[in-house]
Amino acid sequence: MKKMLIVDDSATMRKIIMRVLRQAEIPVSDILEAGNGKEGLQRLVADPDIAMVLSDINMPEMNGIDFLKAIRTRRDKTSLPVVMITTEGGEAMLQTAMDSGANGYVTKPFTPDSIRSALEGLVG
Amino acid sequence: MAESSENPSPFSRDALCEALRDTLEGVFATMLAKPVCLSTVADGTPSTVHAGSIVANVALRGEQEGTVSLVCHPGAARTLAASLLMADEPSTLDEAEVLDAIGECANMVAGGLKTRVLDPLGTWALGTPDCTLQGAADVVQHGGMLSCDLDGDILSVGLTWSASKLTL
Repeated sequence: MKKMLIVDDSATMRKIIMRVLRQAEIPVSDILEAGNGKEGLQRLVADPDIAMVLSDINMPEMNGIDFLKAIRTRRDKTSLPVVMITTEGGEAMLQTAMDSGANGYVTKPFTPDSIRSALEGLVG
Repeated sequence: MAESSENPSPFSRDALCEALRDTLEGVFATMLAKPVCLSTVADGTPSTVHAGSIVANVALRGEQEGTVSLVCHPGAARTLAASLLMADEPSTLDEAEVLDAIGECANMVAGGLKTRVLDPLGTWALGTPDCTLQGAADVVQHGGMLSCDLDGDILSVGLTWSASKLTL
């Protein structure tokens, strides 16, 4: 069971993601929330037990790609699993996310199956 | 739809219409577990945005600039937000929750449009949703390319495209 951080500027989407994680029966012990990349980084620094991140890309303050790059510059977070959840399903954006160090991605709208598939092998 | 001859749009009305329809149907089917019956609104049809409606705009910027507008009459906004949040009673949602939910719907629709139609044509940036509660009633020309009835209230999706004078 892992502690997970969900980063999305929409409180509605954070609630939906939490609901879908339950529906997909993803084994998560605790879920923390942040409204943008900057808040997400603060959460990660404050809580070293966070073992997985689900992050939106298109957010104010700090977008998901910059958040992901900032995570990967931290020596203790290079292998932290990060999955991007985005409305932008274009090849270029998804390639940018993977090149920046994402472990996977899910496009919105999503189903429990698509979440389960993206997290397969990353949660245990 | 009108397209300027000096700066013709690279998008066809059919492609945009089909992408909007597919995206909106996908959002309803996947996130709301609700079928939607969309009607196409004739070009240039004036549409009234009633007081109390929720208007969510998401900008698309690239070679040209456009805006996806999701306009929900008050009842439709609450119905949609309650479905997204799986709330038993729409009246229990506060205004901030309704605004955020409608903004997220507009975001998914604009993202789908960008992926399906715009990304293959170049580099485009998607803005974050700008949601407002309509004060006095207003009449807009781009009021809805597509609209549907949600339990007796209207939801519409419109597009405006500035640089090319593409108006849907």
